[in-house]
Amino acid sequence: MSETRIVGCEQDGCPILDDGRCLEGFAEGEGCPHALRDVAVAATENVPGVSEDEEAADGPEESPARGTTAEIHVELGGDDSLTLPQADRLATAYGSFVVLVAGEFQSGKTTLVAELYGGFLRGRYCGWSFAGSDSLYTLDRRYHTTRAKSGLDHPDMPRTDEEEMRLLDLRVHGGRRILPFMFSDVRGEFFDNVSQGAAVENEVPLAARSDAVLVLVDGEKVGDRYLRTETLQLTRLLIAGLTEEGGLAPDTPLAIVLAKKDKLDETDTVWFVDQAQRLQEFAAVRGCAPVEVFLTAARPDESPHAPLGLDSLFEWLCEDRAQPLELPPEEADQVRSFWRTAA
Amino acid sequence: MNMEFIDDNLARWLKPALIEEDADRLDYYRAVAVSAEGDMLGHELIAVLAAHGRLGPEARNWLAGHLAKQDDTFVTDGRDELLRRLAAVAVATAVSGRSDGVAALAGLAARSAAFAGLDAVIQELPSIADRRVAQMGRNVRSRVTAMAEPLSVTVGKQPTVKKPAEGEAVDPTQVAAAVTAQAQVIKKLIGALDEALPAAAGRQRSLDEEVEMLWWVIRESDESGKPWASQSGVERAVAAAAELAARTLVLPGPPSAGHLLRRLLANEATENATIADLAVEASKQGLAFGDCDAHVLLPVASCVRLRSEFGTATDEETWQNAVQNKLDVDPKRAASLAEGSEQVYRELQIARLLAQ
Repeated sequence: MSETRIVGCEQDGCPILDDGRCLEGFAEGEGCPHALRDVAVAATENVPGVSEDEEAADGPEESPARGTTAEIHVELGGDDSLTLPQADRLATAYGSFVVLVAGEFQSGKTTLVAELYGGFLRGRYCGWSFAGSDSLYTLDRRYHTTRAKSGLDHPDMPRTDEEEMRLLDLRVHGGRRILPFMFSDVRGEFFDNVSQGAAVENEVPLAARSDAVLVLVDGEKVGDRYLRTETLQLTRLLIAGLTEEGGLAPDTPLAIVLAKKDKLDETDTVWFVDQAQRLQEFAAVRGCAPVEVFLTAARPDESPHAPLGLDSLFEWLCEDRAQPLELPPEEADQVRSFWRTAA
Repeated sequence: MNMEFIDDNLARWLKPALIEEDADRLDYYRAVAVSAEGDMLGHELIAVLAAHGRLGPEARNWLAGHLAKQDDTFVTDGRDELLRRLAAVAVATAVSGRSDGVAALAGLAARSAAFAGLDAVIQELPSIADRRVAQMGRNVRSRVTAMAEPLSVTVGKQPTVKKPAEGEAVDPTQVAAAVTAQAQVIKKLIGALDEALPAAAGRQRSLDEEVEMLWWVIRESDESGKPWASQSGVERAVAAAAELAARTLVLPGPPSAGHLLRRLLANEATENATIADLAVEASKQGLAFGDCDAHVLLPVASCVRLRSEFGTATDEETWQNAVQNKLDVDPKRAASLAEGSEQVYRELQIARLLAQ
């Protein structure tokens, strides 16, 4: 059988089957690229043992070709975290929203990003859907390493071991908006150096390119009364260092993120909230805006599959804060009453 | 609007498409945008569409040519976000730096994109377009004072010709020099008049347009004599836009056009209508948008066209599906009647500019 009949159209609302009119204007749909043809009838010639009846039972309704224009094509791929040139190439394709995840060694930076990615493994997360990644292998490996199910006695996160600035690509979409997140994947030692006075432009050159910053505070240390004052002081120095010349641009949104919140009792939490407020004021003075505080546990000991506080942090990251710039004042112009009829 | 604003913000606009910034790359991209801006004629709509995230193959090829002109090793495949942003910078540059039909068309198209619900990849583009279209509308109607000073020409020393005595024969060769000198004076005077008259004619044309629009806006009925007050809001919005467009002698229209339409719509200006409502009414009134193909940047005109193709007396759904499928524009998108009327007026201007 050489001819196939049209059994539908992949375009929603096309009346081709009702009255023969084709949305693309093809006479009775002949030649229309969106027309769905009776592939079952055509295929029976070449598939031994398959009757027309059996093929027809699958029906066009189940054809994978059906879809809507609203569907988002999800790009999967990639291996390790991205070097800056790789990320640059990706940014030219999808754009980028660079999130600098800053904090001292083992403060929970990697776990936080892995668990944000994990949110999308269960479907939509905070109203956003996964739209692709070129760092899928790394994100997946890091996420699964964190889970007890992975077989480890003590699920743990491999530390970031790269000596250069790297980024993790995670693209999400919600409605018409696509957010191409690129989370930094930078060793804690670089941030330690910044806290100790090293120039931010040399240690963390990515800071100047960041669209938002998460400054992580290790909850485990905050829970230790011998370490917590020093930890908060180092965080303050880190914010100071990041906001030096060559670092964060003015008005970069900054979140002070308490990690491992589950390690703190109520008294410790109250103490931290009070201290975080001072840090918040300090960051605002240093030119960051807005500045928020979040209490999180990306991988709580009690319930490792249920992160605490990440939803609100992610929603904060997704907020559309962009405001158009005010245009420069107009040049002096002739003003005629006719042009000012609204006045 | 000055070009400094574009230069000052180039890095910010391109930032999402760049991780590694450096001055050389920015200079390169600036040169590409300028090159594309210089080649905007005929590419206005695809450029504006790309500047709103809809990068088609035609726009990709157009930009690829300008990227290759600056650096023939540049690979454009898979760099859609960068191309969109470069298109947006090129459009912003054209709208800001030129004052011709290209700038008017690009500016009007950018405003049209906002009406169709498209987001510009650089946020300031709608404001830039809005301001510049108004500014161009003012500039083409500026009242240049023709012959502000008494018309005069400077002539050199004229040859002396002795007045012949009565009855004395005149030798033509003796007066030839004088005739030639007088002819030169007349020629100079004609030249001066030629320079002055276009300004006077332009001024007269803008005054004619202005007076006609003002009389029109205080009339109580439309061209056919039907009182405005007896017409529904959407009927008035469409008819008013068409009648104002017919009175617009130079493009883009005057900055007061929106206010005139609002005044005519009175209390109904704030009522809502969908793109489909406007199109149905425009079809009924037989509005002619020229031979433009269905295009995202002409949402009302496209709805009229697709309705004529797919609509029937009993089916108002199919053509709306066609609009959604073909253009990815929601025909049920609502706006105030004032905005809708301005959009119809805008599309009629775009159609005229495209025809030119």
